[in-house]
Amino acid sequence: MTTTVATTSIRTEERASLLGRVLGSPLARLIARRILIATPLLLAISILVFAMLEAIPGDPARNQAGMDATEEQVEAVRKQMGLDRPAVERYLTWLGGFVTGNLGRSSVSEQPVTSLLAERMPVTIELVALAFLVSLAIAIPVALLAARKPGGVFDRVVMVISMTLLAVPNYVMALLLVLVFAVTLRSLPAIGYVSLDDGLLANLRSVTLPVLALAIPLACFYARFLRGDLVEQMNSADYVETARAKGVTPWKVLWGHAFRNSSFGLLTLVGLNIGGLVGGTVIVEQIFSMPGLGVLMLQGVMSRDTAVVQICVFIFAAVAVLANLVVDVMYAVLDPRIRYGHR
Amino acid sequence: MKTLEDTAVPVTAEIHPDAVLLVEDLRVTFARSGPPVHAVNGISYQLRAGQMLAIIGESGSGKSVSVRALMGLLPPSARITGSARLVGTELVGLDERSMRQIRGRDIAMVFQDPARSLNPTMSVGAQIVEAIRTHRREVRKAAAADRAVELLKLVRLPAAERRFHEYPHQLSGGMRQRVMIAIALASNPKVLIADEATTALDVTTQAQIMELLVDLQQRLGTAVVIISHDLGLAASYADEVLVMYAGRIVEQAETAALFRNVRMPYTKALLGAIPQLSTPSHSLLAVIGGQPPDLSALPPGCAFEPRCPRADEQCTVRPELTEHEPRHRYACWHPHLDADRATPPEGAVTEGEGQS
Repeated sequence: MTTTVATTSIRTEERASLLGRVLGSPLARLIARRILIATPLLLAISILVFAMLEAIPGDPARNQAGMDATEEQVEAVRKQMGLDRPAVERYLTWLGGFVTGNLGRSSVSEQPVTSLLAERMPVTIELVALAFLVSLAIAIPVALLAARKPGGVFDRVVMVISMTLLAVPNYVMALLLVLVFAVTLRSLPAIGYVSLDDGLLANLRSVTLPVLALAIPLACFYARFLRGDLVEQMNSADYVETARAKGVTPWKVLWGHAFRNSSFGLLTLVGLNIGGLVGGTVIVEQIFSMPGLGVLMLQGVMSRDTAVVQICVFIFAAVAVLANLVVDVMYAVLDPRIRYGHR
Repeated sequence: MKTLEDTAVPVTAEIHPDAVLLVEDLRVTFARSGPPVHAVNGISYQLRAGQMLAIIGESGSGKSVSVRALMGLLPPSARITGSARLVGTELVGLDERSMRQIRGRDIAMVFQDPARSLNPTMSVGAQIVEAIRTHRREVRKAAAADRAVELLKLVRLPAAERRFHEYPHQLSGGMRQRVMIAIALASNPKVLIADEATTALDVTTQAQIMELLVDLQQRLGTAVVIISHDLGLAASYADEVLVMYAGRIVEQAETAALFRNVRMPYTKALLGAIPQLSTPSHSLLAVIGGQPPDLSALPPGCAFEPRCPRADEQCTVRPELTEHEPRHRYACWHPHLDADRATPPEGAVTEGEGQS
């Protein structure tokens, strides 16, 4: 009887120490620290967005009441919308709503903002996630092949093509893609979004062109950056010479040694890009009639739909912050120097 | 104590039966826009199993280039001629694929800066395992890991089992250099080249690493070439010393003989440039006056002539490296002979003789 108790207590102790190890690990501490830094930052962003919407000209109450409304009617609408209360009070109300998941209603469609977001966010997330995957799936092999023989035929062709495509802004890229794939080849739909519920293939076909419009310039950017960094590592890094001196084949040196080190630079770049890419979706969603967050925000801005604009801008900013948080954590996972800390 | 048997026999004489590396008239030229750079201009030496040879010279003397040429580690712009036979295999002109099989297996190298020559993203163990499995693909990972730990013990890295899993940044400079040596020894090479391998380390660690190299050379019978600018290092550890200047060997002898009778004014100047404990503090450091020669426009005569205090018009004709004394070769028209010993140091040497 006593022995059983003893073993259980040891087990509990072990479990506790394991939990302690996980929580006390440098990685867990790093994540906690980053979240602690991100929280006030996000708070500051929400205040900034709120202040911005306050400052822009135009009166939402008058907008809502209509052109022919009398002063009294406008005042009544203002009271009804709660706009007569002080800004600080309204901000705190919004913040409280944000925490409890009540973001108010759209002044245009009268729908709750949360249900609008639930409808629109998956589209934008799908576009952005696929754009990143596609751009990296193109950039990494291309960069590795180009860096294998710098100045070789493949390298030169890649450099010229990537420079050309990089010079094309994504809205022009979108129109070119439509022209080639939808108008000339008639192989892909030019506009419209098919939900995942209607089949994976149909869904993927509908997002192919917008994803390519976002991914191609990114792929060129990443390929050029990674190729440059790889060539630099191969030419001047001492550990590359060590690997060569071991008799390791050039391809293994490139892939197994140089790429490991170059991937950190690439990761930083991806993190910095996420904010910009989410912004890029505003234009691309508009061109391809994707019912995403970008279009929602654009419509909100046009119709002074404060509740919608406030949360959309906040989400765009928050994504940039969180993306960098994720990149920091990824560094820690990938780079032993951070994972184990310096001695 | 060294016997006569221990001294090197110049290649021009008979080939020693234990010779593992025979270098003959090795030349390296770098093509570029403008006149080509003549980095190594016909050097010959032989290296025996279990011997430690020091190649000494300033930066740009060609010491490092000459060994990188043996390893096939020079950029494509390098043109290598002459001959270098590693246990019968001609290395000059060998295709990259065959060279790759020799590199790391028969001839290995330890580099200058251990902080940068290990891959920061790979564990110490993974880097040694890679060295083992590159040349013996049939070795299973677990067996290679065992061998890696063995190698770490061989280079006397404390707590080898734990260090196996650690990353380079977790080790000190001396420990990293031990790991580099373990990597170099992974396939039991016949020749181990240490290119300024202790330059980046503090003096105590430097001595420990040198003693490790001497110990390995004696225990494993590996031939070791140390490349250094430090004559003192060569004096303490090497069996034989080659002094290089402007891509040529200017003096070559068994260590004891060389330091007993330094003949070539350049070697003398190098010795004089080592600060001595007896030198009063705050006195000027001895330097060799003038500039190292431009390797794309070498003079027809002795390359050291413009900086040499003993130079005269005879030096505009290049002196050949000649065995003037038994097992002591030097290329000089006006060597410091025993009769000169009383004369004070001159010109190039400003402070003390620095004789060891």
